[in-house]
Amino acid sequence: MKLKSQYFGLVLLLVLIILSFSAETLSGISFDQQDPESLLLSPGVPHWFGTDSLGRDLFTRVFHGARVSLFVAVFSSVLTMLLGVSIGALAGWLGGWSEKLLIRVLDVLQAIPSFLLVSLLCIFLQNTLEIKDFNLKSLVALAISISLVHWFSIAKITRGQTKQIKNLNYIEAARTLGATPLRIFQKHILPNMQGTLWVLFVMQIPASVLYESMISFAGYGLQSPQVSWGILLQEGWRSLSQFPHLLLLPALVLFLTVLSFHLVFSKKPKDFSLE
Amino acid sequence: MISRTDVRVFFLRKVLETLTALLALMFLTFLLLYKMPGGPFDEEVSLNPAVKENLFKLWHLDKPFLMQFAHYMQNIFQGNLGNSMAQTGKAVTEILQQGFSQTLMLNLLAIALVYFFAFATSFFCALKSGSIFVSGIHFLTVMSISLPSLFLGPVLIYFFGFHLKLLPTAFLSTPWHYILPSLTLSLRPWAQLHLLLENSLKETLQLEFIRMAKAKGLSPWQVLLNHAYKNSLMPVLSLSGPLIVGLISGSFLVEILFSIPGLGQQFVESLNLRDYPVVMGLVLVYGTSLIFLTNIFDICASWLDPRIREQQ
Repeated sequence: MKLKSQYFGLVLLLVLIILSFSAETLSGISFDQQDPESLLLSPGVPHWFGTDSLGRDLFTRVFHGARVSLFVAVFSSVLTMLLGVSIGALAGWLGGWSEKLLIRVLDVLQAIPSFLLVSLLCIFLQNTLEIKDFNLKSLVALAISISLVHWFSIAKITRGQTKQIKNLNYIEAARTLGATPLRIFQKHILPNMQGTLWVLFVMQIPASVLYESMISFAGYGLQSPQVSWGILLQEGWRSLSQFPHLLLLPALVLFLTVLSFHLVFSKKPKDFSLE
Repeated sequence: MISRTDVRVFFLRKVLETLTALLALMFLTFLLLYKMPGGPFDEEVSLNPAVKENLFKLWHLDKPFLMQFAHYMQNIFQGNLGNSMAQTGKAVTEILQQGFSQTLMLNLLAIALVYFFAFATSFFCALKSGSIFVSGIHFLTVMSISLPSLFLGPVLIYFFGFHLKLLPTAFLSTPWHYILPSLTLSLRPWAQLHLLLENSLKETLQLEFIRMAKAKGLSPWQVLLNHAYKNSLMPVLSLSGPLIVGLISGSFLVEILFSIPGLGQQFVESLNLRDYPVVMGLVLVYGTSLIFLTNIFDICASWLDPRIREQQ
């Protein structure tokens, strides 16, 4: 049964990725092409997901938005891993007061609601980053602020693993042979925790996707000419009572994406509880 | 080594840490907002320079950063969080008081629901493994874990509010109003807690002393309620901090979705308006309460399990 649901998740994920790259060719309409003849249509034959208040095809927009959302998610997950692994490994390797300080700081940071931190950082970065292109700037600001708030748990896990591995005999042997800490880390410690790190990386992606949608929905993240799931949800939210498809369909795709990640990559139900 | 004094030392250290942490948090937020370009008086294009200068003086914006921070902290200790810049004439404390009760009620209700249902369903699943209800609950947990509140909230609003016209979808005036927001808020944390509890219960039920209890002739429910659940309390305690922080982090959006005039909605609005005093006040309220809460959980855990104290 476990295997079946894993296959199901994998198929969902593949369909999503294929659609996100081919939606515009499939529907033959550009994501921002407005059509005053067909405003606010319900889901139907020419427009599979219906159209929005400017007559834009929702199907194309949802899957074009998938590209932006997934890009933000992957970008911020890579950044999260880089931050978490390097800081965690450093603390685990050095030990002593720096390690203790890190744990204290992380404990405090983890006690603050992440939504609050991400939105503060996102607004701050949007105003201070020096990137000319506004769309790119809001995208980078959002991705960085997500990763600045999500590396805590990864640093903690990396620290624990580094600490365990560094006391093993063969690490001592490598040290006796004169290997530098960086080389030991690359050649001996990193390969040892590779498996854990991959799982953490992949599971960070749906978390980041959710964060993108939440922050953009609240109005801090990406802004309207751009298309992402958060923006589509924000646009659809205004007309939920009359045109529910504008919100429910993008939200459903968001849900299925997160679900597929969980189905494919969590082996035990235990892993779920770690977020 | 392990004695009562140890707990006291641990407790004292935690209190000191908490205070340092709060100071650091306030400092960083203040710095972040200070460094942010654009201020509340930027939009009035036709503002007279003299007026602007006076406004800056009024808000102490002409002073250097550390002076501003010191001034702010001094005021905090006198219970004065300053005035809102956007809602003219209102004190920040007043704004915080308005939203506080709604946010508190909603979050407390959601937390209570999470714990009640997680214990109920996990006890049920641990005893009746194999039944059709258990597979149903498992399916529900897998779904709930990946269910974004931005999907669940609107779906509930649409079906129960607009389509069936059964439940109110905005504000928190009667008990009926609490149903949908607290459901949206608590489903995901419930699933997390349920999975943790069920696993730990199942592990405990394999142990020797459970076989002993069964051999004494206790019924499965008695075994669970008198013996097995105690072993699961430790993992629940260590998950509780992150779980509640996560739930409250989710309440920001739930408050927007259900138009609840609480602190979360206030935060989103104030940050959009660059109303710095209110944002600072909200960071203070959320930071203080949650840092204290997680520390209380830490202290409880260390009291229950002295090994934790030795580690730190």
